[in-house]
Amino acid sequence: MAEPFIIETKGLTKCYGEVTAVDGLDLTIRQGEVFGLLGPNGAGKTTTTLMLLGLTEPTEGTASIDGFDCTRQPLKVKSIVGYLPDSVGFYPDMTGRQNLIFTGQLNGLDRELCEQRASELLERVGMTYAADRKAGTYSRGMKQRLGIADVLMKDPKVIIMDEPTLGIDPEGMRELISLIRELSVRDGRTILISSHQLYQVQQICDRVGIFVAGQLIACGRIEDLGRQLENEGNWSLDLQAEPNKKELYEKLSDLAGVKRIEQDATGLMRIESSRDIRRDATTLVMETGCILTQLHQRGGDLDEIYHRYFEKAGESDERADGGKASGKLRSLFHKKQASGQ
Amino acid sequence: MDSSEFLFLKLFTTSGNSIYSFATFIAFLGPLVGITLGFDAINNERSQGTLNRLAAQPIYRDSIINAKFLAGATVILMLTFTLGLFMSGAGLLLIGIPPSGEEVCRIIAYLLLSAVYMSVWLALAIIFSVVCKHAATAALASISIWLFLSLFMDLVASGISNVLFPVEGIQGYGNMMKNYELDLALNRISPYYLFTEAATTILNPSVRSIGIVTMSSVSGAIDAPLPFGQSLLLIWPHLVVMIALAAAGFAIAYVSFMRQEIRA
Amino acid sequence: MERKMTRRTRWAGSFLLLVFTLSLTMSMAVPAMASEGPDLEMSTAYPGVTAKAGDSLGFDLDFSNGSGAGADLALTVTDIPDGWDGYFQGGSSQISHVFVRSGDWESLASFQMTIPVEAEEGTYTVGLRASGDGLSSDLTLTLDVSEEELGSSSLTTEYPEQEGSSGTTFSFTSTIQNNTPSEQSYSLAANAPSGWVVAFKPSGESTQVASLTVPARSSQGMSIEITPPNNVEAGEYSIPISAISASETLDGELTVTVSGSYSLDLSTPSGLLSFDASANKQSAVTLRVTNTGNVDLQNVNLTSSAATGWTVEYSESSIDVLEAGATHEVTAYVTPSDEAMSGDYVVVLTASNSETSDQAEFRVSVKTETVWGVVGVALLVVIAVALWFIFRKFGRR
Repeated sequence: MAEPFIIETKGLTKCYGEVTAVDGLDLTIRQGEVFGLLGPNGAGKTTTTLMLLGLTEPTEGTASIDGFDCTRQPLKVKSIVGYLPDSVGFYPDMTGRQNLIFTGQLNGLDRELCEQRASELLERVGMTYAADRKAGTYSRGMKQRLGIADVLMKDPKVIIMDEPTLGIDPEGMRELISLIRELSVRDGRTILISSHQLYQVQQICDRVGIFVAGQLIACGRIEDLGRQLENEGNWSLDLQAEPNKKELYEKLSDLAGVKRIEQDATGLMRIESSRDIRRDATTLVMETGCILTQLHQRGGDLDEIYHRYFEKAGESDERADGGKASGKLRSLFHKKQASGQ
Repeated sequence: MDSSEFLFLKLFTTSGNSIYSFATFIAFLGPLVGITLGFDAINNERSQGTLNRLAAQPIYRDSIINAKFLAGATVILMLTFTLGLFMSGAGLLLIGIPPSGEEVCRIIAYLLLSAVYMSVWLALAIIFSVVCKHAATAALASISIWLFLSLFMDLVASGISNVLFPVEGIQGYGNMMKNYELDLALNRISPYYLFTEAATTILNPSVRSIGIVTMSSVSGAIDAPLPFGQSLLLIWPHLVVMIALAAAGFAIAYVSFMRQEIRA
Repeated sequence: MERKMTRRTRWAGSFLLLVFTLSLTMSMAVPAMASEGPDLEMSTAYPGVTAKAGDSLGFDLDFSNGSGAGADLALTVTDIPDGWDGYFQGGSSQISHVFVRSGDWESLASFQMTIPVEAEEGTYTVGLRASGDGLSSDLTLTLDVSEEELGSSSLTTEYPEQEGSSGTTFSFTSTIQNNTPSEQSYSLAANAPSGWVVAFKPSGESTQVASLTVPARSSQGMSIEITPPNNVEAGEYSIPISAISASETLDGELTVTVSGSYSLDLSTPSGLLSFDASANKQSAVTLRVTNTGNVDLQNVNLTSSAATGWTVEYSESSIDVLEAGATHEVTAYVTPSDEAMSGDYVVVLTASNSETSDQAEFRVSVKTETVWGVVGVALLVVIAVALWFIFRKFGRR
């Protein structure tokens, strides 16, 4: 981690009228890192990436990539940053290859180099077979792969991917992940992935930042984040028992340290507590005459961390009890809960 | 003067029994060319997801809308001149007389005027393509404005002026002038009317005045064609207004595009 | 005046005395006839004539036939001087016989005769005889040929004094009479004031000649055309003319009275009768008023006729005196109506006084003021600046 910071933001803020989409973001990403910017829909991830590209002006604060100010030198920034939008599109009446060459030319490359690079990249993303078909006939996965080739046309130092995993089948996902890893490890490019799909992202990210309601509420390696949560006394347990009795739910609720229990339709309970309650919980299951079908202590995986951080943010808000931002935060949090997991 | 003079210009203004003249066609259908070229300029880029990809390239963002307008205008220019050359060529075959220098000037001026006219509609269509999410909405909005200004403005103008300055009865006689003036002013809101007036003047050298011709302006006048420069001066305000309309339309589209978020 | 008696006789070779006796006998035998004098008499009214050498003469012959029956008479010249020539004419033909019915006949035939040019002065007699059918009559013509007068050739003009206005061509009809016995070539000259043009033309011809050949003892008509210069002053001019041949000089004098002419010309210094103007804006046109007549003009007024709403003003609306041939410059200020359209209009400007007038028809091209073009350009610049401002404000990112 001795690499210099390539992306730096200081107090980056973007307001849309009354609504603050990004609120004082301080983010640093080192060269060669794969950074995951995680957050729910509407958390301000896309706004952040657009500000980094200079496509949106920040209300306050600065962002710089490789020493170039994203607002004042957008052309310099855009020439070293490849951006893969969340729903990448191509000109449907041009072939994949033509689309790539067009991008190359927009970057000021000469035609010959464009053609050569387009062929290489099509090969690399496995699209050579469809290179001369009209882009309009491509499936979503093909478009995504072509999108990566498109990003690489300018040979960027930094790649920003907005929801790259959206709508891709598992096989495509695996290919994508290996490709991203390759871009990072072999080419030494810095990659910023913004996503709300946590599971896939945690496989490839060196570091993640959890982004909720415009605020980065946690940032660090995944293990570090997990540990940090545990140290703060946030435990989470998934428990399922048969038969699903009301009595068990009530008894679990009464356990010391249990903060909340959610139960879904299948009877799976998520128990959040301030201490390890696994022993007490199994005992209770026995006592009520149920059979324990599932018990899973969560903590190490990103999903959990993510979820927990939301909660934490909500709590801290409740404590603080004020401001529009907190209200917004809470509503987001509840939305997340309602959507289930 | 002799009617055989400016025979070439007649090609553009003569209509058959069942077919309109070239000039009428351009006046009526030219807007559709502009609308066709502009109605999906931005929203199509947006909906097919190429806009943000495009914006992420190292180009200024306004290049996109500038290019959209300039490309459209270029196509329009090429189209009008191709049509004009085609007409002239056909005319040359038909009548076998090459056009005089003045006729060539007039035809070129007319074609430029047509290009500006279509560009006005291009700019309007681009505004809608920026403002409307869907290309279809933009197209319908543009077309409805086109239909209104081309077909119904006349009725609206005469309706309003007849209400304000009724021409019936004894007072009507005194109102006639005001009625006509208001009617004309209202009609001139429409680029269609402006273009028709200007095209008639530039293609017909015997048209000496745009607008109201009173008995006193006719007295003492000699029936002689106007020189090209004078015709051009007559339509100059029209041309400026149309350029201004196109520029204003483009400016609106430009500003609203630049203020918009790039995100899909 | 002398009368020859003819006696009717039926016997050839009779003796004059015998004839006389017989006739007396006959007359006694036929008293009615005897009382009526001779049976045939050929006569002319003026048998004695004074003539000049070279003259042609004609004598009408009267006949009187008292025989009671028509007679076919042969006409003969019995006596004529040497070298002289004569013949009988009846109608338009030369004749040798004439038939004379009973009675008196006047001018039934004529005797034509030319006196040779060489004939000398003196008295000559010519004898004529008509005879036939037993009748006969003699007639003696007496000619006093006078010597011809040398040097009496003449140059005469029919109407030597003519009058007309300036600009008129005066045409005189003159005749040169050559009375010399030889052909003469006359060179023609006129002493006209400078600027005048004199042309000599033989009658009936359009060729202008410098000399004229006239045969001996004959005349030649000619026309003399005199054109005074346009700016000639009114007055009487006499122009001596002369026809000079090798032997003689003929003089004449023509008088031309040029009457006063009143004429004006209204134009511009460049002669261009068109100018540009703008609606409701005064345009100045310099006019040139010229007195093309030969009389000074008083009170020349400048007026105009233009379309409704147009105004025409002059720097001076009237010129007090315009001398003959003088030119005066006046500026006309033409203001087209504010409703005037672009294009051409007609404005008629008139200069006139009580005697004469002239008008100039001006073609006025009303032009749209280029000011509006400039305003348009300025507007376009404003539009461009506005666009540039918008680019600066929103663009470049």
